[in-house]
Amino acid sequence: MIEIRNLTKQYGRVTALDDVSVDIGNNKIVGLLGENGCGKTTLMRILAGLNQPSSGNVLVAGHVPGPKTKSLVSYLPDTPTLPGRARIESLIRYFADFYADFNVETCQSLLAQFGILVRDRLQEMSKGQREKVHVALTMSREAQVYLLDEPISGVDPAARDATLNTIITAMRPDALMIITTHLISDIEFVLDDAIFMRHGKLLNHDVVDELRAGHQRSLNDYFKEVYTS
Amino acid sequence: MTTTILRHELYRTVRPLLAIVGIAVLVIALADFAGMFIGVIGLVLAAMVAAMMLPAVQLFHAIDFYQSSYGSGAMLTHLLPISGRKLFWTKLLYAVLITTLTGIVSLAIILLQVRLGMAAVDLNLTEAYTELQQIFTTPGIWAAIVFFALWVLLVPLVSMFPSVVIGSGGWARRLSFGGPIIVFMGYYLVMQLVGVASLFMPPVYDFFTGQVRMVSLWHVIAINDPNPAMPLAIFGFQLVALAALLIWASRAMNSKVELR
Repeated sequence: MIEIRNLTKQYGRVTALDDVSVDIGNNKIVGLLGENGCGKTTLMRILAGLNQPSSGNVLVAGHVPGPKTKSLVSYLPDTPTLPGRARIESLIRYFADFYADFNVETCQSLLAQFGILVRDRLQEMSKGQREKVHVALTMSREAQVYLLDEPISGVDPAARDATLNTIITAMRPDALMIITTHLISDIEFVLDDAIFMRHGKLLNHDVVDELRAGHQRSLNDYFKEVYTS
Repeated sequence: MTTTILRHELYRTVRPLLAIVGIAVLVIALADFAGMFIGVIGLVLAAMVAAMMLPAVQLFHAIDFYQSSYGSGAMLTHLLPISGRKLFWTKLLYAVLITTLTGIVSLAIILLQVRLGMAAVDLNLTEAYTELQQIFTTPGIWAAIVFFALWVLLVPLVSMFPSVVIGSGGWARRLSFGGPIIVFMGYYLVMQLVGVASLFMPPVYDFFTGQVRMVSLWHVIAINDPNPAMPLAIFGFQLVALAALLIWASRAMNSKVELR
């Protein structure tokens, strides 16, 4: 589903991604893990078609990121991007008008689960509620690829499990989902694969069960061990 | 998809546009009311405010284009499954349509002020119409009027929109809104220099005869020709420059978008 070959991204003298190559199949949930500034968000944004590689090749479902892949990929950014003054119903109309795979009923159902009214304005909500709105909009697309950048970081601890369950149950069954997060202990039991990054490079890509079995520790503990060494 | 983009452009901009026009209409109404006490000056002020509506709306569109394509709304825009080229041309089309509508409203208000002014100075409508008829039957005058109207409506938008795209990429990304301003000022400066150079180039438009003459304005002045004339070479250069900017911006927004 995703093929990355020798991907490098530079911002001036800063190398955000350094010769990354990886293949990611569909029908799985992949954790993209690493410390702050290791290139996770840069990689997600390139896959979403928001930034261009400095060199290397990226294919999503056989296409270079662009209008075609944007119709297949549903992206949740790590920073708020929805217009604060907008009512949720207008955002639903926006997504429904532009994305053929957007399901209005699913969105309304997800918002109801989150306890959010469609007539509310985003600026009247807390940060966590705004993130839930964006999660609902993103997961209401029946996409082939979901890219979720820190989807639960702004959600209170009591609601994280519920939000994560909502995400997992809403995703299209045969889709690929890539999640970045620092809250590894919260998501590791839903992950099929894990990709570890450091200083722009890919450290490891493995099946989570095999990582746990091979290292005899949780993914969260393995992460701490790798990134404190 | 074009109509969908146009519809959402309207949804997003209708309130600020109505605010701009609403404020202008309020000031015009107050100026007209004041005209009852201070005479024609109030009507002149009202006409000036009506004329300023057009550049105000054009500037609003340029700022909105920046915000929605490279500012706070950029991610929502560039995640759409639509080519950058289509987004650029459709957003520009929307701005042209609204600007044209604003121009019509602005002209109607100005003509109303003229009519009120004529009544205020007891100017005979028939006499005024006879004088105007002489002007409007000059050969070539309507072509000049249409050309001028299109120029005033389109050139600001067609120069500002590419400035936003070109000034938001590559070297200028870190300058935020400063990048588009620098690009626009650079274009403006170059056009000013070309404008000066065009004084020495043919052709010119003769306002008296309504004809194009293959002489330079410098020649017209040098021989003390009494007929007022306007150099035309600047328009040719500007059309070429604007076409190049549009093609450059369309291609850049299609393939080189780098969001911060």
